[in-house]
Amino acid sequence: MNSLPQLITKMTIIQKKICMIGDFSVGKTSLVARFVRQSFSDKYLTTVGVKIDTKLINITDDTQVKLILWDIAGSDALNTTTASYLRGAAGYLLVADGTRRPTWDSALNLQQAVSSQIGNKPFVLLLNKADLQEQWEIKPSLVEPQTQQGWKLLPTSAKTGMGVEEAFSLLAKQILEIAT
Amino acid sequence: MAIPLSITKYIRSMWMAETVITYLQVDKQGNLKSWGGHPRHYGLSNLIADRPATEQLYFLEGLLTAPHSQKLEFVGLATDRYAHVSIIPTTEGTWVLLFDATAAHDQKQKMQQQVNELSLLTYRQSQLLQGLEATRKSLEEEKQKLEEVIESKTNYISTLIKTMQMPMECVDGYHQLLNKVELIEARTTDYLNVVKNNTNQLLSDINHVLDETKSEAGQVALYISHCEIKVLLENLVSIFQSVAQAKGLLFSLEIKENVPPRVMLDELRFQQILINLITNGLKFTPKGFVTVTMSWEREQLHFVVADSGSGISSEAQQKIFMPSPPNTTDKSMGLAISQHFVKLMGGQLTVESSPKMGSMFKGFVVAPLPLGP
Ligand SMILES: Nc1nc2c(ncn2[C@@H]2O[C@H](COP(=O)(O)OP(=O)(O)OP(=O)(O)O)[C@@H](O)[C@H]2O)c(=O)[nH]1
Ligand SMILES: [Mg+2]
Repeated sequence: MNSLPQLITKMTIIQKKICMIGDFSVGKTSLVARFVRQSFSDKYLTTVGVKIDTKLINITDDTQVKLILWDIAGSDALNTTTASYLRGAAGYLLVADGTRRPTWDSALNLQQAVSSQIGNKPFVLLLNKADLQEQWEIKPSLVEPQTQQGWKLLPTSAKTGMGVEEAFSLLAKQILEIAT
Repeated sequence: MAIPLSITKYIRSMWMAETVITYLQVDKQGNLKSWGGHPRHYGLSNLIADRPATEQLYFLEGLLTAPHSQKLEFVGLATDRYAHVSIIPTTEGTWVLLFDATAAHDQKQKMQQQVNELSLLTYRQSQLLQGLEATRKSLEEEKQKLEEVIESKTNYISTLIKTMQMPMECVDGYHQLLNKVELIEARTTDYLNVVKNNTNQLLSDINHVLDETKSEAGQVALYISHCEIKVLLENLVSIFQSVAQAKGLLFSLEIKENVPPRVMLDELRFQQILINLITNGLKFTPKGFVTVTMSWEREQLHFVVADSGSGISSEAQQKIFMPSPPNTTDKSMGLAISQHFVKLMGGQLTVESSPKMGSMFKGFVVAPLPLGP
């Protein structure tokens, strides 16, 4: 009888695999570090291959979901190695660096490549490094066509934490088809 | 469950290459069956048999349903260790093999790090250059605009000066006529009126030009030369005497004995100062006098222009030397520019006045004696 609550939690947790996609140095690893460990480092250590992390989040009062986060090495296009990491993903965060305009184009290319690889999966596009407004290169007019198309865009900062929780929970809700 | 021959061979070849191998076996229902090698190496501890594999090995989430083999390179699990992962479906379930690739990962990471950092640096540099280029362009445009403004100003001024030439010639002509004609009352008055009108026109034109050049006055250069001060003053008297007479005013000039015949100063600017002061005096004096007094002391030429006119309230005196906004006519003209010129010439210009008691403009400019004979 004593072990019943334990059993229930073990049985009801859903797991979802989520991939971090985007050009190099846009902040994928930093966003995961902020989200999972509430930490940030200015030092850049590029990811080679993929690094897997998990985080349990509450979506609603009675829904918990364990996110299996695949932080994939950044690149401007999908190669066979990175494509192999996508299998089984329920959705993905597409990340661009607001201070580098070309990473926006990479994000658009990657979105196409990813959806042709794993089909139409939910995703949220993050404009990261929102704390560096004075270096901002991605103008509202640039993102207009995508927002018109109904893409979910979110400014984030792994440094300050702005928008980070929202980004992951927004994606999780889309995956679980919970109205937002 | 027997290990298929192909997998045995594969494992053996890796073994021979001294690769650290870990294996995990999952049954058709997705439960972990068995394992071997070094799962702890990757932080995979507390493994429990016959429980769902994806609950214990998170990275397998979504991967066990594939009908064919998959290879994932450089997968980082909970620790700093990286593995190449092979997921091989068999008739009885799935084999998951982990080959340690930490050393290869770290080596590749160092190389990739350099490549990425270089690429970031190159990008920042090109942004910087673009910024510089943009600044250069906007400066160039600014310069272009300024040059256009200066040119149009110059054009305007030269047009104005041309319009001044006509009345000036007229004054000259009538003056010559006056000299020849016997002083017959009615005619003389007519001519004098023409002279007066033209003189007024001329003076207001001059003031327009002065106003126009005000903004550039900061750049005015002085042209200092030998100045025959008495000749200059007598010329002024000849210009203003007729105007004063027509108004019934007494206009007089007093040159103190200590004034040398020649001094060094910018003749044209000094003349402009006096013209402005005398014009104002005549303009604001309905009856009585306007007098100009000159003296010289310690290399300074002192002048006083006094009148018996309407005077200036102390409030107005505060503002009298300030530049007037454009298109304000019928005010004392050219005082700001006079003040500016006086200062440029190393002197001072002040006013003493009270309403109905007339005004006295006092000033001096630096005017040394010429060197040599
Ligand atoms: N100011 C600021 N810097 C950030 C932010 N996010 C990341 N960075 C910095 O950007 C650099 C790259 O961050 P990473 O998280 O390593 O980027 P990444 O997308 O994982 O890069 P790859 O692994 O090479 O694809 C690091 O120096 C971070 O400190 C942010 O929100 N604000
Ligand atoms: Mg990274």
